[in-house]
Amino acid sequence: MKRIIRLLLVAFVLTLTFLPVFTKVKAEHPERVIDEMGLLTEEERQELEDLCDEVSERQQVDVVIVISDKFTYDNMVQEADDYYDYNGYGLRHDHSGSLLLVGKDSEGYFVYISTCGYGIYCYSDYGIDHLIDTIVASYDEGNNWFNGLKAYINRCDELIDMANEGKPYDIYFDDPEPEPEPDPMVETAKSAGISAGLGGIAALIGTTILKGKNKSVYHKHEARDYARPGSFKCYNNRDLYLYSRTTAAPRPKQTSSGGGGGGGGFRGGSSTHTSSSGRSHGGGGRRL
Amino acid sequence: MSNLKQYKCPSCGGPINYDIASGNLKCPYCDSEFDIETLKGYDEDLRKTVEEELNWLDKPGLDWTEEEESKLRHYVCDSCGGEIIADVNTGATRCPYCGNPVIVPQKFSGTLRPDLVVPFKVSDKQAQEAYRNHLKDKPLLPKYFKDENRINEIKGIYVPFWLYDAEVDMAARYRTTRSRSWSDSNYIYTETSYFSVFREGEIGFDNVPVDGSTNIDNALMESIEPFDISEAVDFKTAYLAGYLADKYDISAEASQEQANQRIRRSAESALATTVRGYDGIALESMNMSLNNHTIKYCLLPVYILNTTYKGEKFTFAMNGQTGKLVGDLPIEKSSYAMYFAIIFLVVSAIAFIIQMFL
Repeated sequence: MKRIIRLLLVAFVLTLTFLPVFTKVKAEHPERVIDEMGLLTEEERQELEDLCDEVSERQQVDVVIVISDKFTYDNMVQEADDYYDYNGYGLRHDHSGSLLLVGKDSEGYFVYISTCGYGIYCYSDYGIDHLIDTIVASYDEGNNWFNGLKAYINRCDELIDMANEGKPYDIYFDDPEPEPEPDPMVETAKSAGISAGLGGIAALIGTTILKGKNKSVYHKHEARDYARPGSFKCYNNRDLYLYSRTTAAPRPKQTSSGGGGGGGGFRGGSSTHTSSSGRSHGGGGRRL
Repeated sequence: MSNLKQYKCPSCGGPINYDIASGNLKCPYCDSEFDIETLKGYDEDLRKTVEEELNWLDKPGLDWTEEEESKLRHYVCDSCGGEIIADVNTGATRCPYCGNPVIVPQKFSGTLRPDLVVPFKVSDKQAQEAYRNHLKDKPLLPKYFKDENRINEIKGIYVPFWLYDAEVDMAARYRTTRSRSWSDSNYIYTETSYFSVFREGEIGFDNVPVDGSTNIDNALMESIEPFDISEAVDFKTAYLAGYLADKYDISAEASQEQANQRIRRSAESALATTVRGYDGIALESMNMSLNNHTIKYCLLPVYILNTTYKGEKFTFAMNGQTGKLVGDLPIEKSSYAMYFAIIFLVVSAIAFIIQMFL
């Protein structure tokens, strides 16, 4: 009995010793959604924070959003990189993750996404542009940042999944977004139209064949039947090569027919630079 | 210096000069470069042409003897103006072209005597059977047209044809192209090579027939071809017994252009078959001449049936030697609409069902 009590005591002491360490690890990671401009209500910010935490910890790729009017458009690359590097963001040994910077100046809102570590692989230049498009598609011209940012976090999650499968979202990648549900009425009308078109063509061909059965009088324009068998001889022939001409036509880009939405000016992959901390970062941004 | 020859560029037609640097001939306008032998050959081919001549020398036919004329009678139709010949014993009661019963016998005279005749091999009973078969398996044929008995009016008639024999010499120049493509990461390249192709050859034609009567539609007569002229025999009035014969009203000279066109097309096709291995072939020039050309006047056996349906005349013709029968048939509009609707509905329904399940 004494032995059991001793073991429990040891376990209790060990727990008391290491519990603060675990708590510290969790507590040490800075907030993942910071809103200094008040674009979000506290409830919205918290919901986004929870979502970022969930995605970041599950994927082990940090997803961070910082909204502040202290950022400047001209220096947003450096400011985003530094914010990420010097505030302790990044998971895994290579500080994997991304930081979405939302700033505002006299010309309006601008965004920049800084990527690091495995995040550089997950978010290609084309992928970053696509993520910004995702925000724009949902944020209702600045009136609903919550929706835009929520869509952004979810899309980050999907792009990390794609990278985990070895196919990061890039210029040659088919857009995995599900197509909007087709309207059954429109689809039925379309099918009926196509069917009627095919029926019309078939009826035209069929009746033309039937009409052809009633026609048997045609002019004969040649005299093949009356050529004397064996009389044709080609006794002189010469084939002279004269000259050649070469033309070059631009090769069609694969993206234009791949359904992936086109590569725009992107060459594929991620372009990187080194931040003031010495880490490699990828990234991209623009005014909204 | 006067021996220097001025060549023209095969690419753009401009005068071409000797290029000292390459030792070749170079066009100053389009920069095309040619070796001297190539241009020499090209120039030879340009000049090597057969003199265009598609005329016929031998005149066909002989004159009738008095004895032959006495055995024949000449009829003229008051209605369509058709002129036919029959022997005195056969007589003609009805115009074979328009069915008009008023045909006036006249004293036979004039026109050439045929050189040859191909006797009828198919009986009028076989012609009737062929006509019945011709009406079978025609879903758009009006029922009334099919049911009505019209076949009693089939009449055998010898139709006058001019037969043209010809030996054709021909020379043709073609501009041909051959292409190949390759690509790098940015461009797709297509190299097109141009060739000058020269062909010279000969071909013979025997007995190309051209209908010498305006009473019968040329297309109808061409549709019952071919006739096997090797079975033709020297003309004798005895062959006309029991049949009518048409009198030619288009001369051999007037018909020859039609023969020329048919011979030209077939000769061109034959020569073109020797130009192979190219992606594109365009004929640049073709010259032909006809040698040992003869024209024969021949009567060919044809069964003719005329009938009228809803005010429109329908004529059928049958090759009296081979039994081939032709003739356009009327189309029932209601049957046409019905078949159109049936096919439309069935195919549309099947297509719709397939789309629903895909």
